[in-house]
Amino acid sequence: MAGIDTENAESIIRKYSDMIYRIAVHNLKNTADAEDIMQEVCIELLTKFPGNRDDEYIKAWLIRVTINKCNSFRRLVWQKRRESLDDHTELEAPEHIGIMEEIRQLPKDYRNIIYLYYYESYTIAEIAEILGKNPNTVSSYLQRARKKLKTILTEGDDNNA
Amino acid sequence: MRKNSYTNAVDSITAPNRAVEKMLSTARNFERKERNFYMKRFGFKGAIAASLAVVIAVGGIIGVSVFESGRNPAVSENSFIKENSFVITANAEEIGGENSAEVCVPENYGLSVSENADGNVEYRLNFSFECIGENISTVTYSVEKDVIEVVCRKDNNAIVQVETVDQPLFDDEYKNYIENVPESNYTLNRYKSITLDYGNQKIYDGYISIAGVGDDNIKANKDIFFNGGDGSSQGLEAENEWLGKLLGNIVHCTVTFYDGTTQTQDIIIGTKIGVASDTFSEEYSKLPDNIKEEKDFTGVFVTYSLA
Repeated sequence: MAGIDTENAESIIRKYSDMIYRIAVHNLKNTADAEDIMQEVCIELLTKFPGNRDDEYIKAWLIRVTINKCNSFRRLVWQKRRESLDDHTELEAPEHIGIMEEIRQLPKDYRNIIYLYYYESYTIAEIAEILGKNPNTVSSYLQRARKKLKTILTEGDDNNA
Repeated sequence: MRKNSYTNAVDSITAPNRAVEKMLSTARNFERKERNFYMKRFGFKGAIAASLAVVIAVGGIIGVSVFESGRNPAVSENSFIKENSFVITANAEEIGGENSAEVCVPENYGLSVSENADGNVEYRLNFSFECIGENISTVTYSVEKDVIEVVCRKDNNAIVQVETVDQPLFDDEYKNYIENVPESNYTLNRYKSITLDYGNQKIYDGYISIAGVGDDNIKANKDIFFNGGDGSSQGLEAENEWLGKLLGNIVHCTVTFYDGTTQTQDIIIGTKIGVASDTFSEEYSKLPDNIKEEKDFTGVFVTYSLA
């Protein structure tokens, strides 16, 4: 039977809510819509998660569901129009706003790959599996994104904001 | 985590408390409904599970039996041996004269085009061919230009015979990544031709691509593709011409039958300008009306056809 019990669901929500939100923000650029996606992912977790899986599986499953939900969200034409009018994310530090603006200039698939590679530390092969893409495609996206975002993706350059 | 300015910025994005609380509240309320549901159906769970196990087991045996008799007449005394012939599929669609299978560009449908460190253009086109026929022992593919790139486990290489090739133009960042990370059990090799066992044409836990590096002309005009075009007919014509030069190729496909005879068909890889709703008419017709408009577009498509 698909779905998950309350205790596990609460634990998963507390652990991964930031991740779900971050992925939604990367895909939708809009905090209100990102919050709606969180709720939709929660329903998926409660109704469709194939229980008794390890932590890595849960995390990858949530990433896939969140991206799929965002894709469905974006397909609506009215939503696309609204996005362009309401394009903001609440970030406290001004230097971070500029960085996220650069990220948003990338195609959507690039943003997800950048997030999974740099923030979640997945390998190219793992990202390919999670996103259902050819590893070569992931690799080439990553290379292109690196070139465009060389400054902010420089490893170990914590103060280069 | 790979620390840099980007990850610092992502660190500062946290889910609002109200959204997390709403999720938690949903979970608590949902559980009360689900628990009742499970209790009502609990008595049936064992029986359903047992029935399912039987169905799966029988299905598995039938599947193996049909598959084995179809591919090897020696294991089935009554198998009907057809005249030696075969068809080729790409992405599970038969390639033939007027019925050319088409793959959508760009990458989501199996094509990757990128710049390497030297500014040259590399491409990788997912190798989605499969031969289907009776009494076939092995299938050999060779490419007129460029290479067949195979990534597979070091301990499970499905390729039974190869003709190797040296391709110094390739940027080997990816090959190094595949082979040299400490936990890697994979290897990347490039061939002019590969031979596969008929019953093992798909590499599981790996993949095959047709890969190449564009010439100086491709390199000089790469902005036609990487800038994405302006959507005009002139832009599409230019993109079609550029991509056609990069990908254009002939794949020679030779099957060897159990009686030792062989048969060859050539697959022409090309490009064309098309409309998504025409190219993917069957899939497109299944889309909900509210997203058909967004899914439809005019673009450059990769095509496969028989010579």
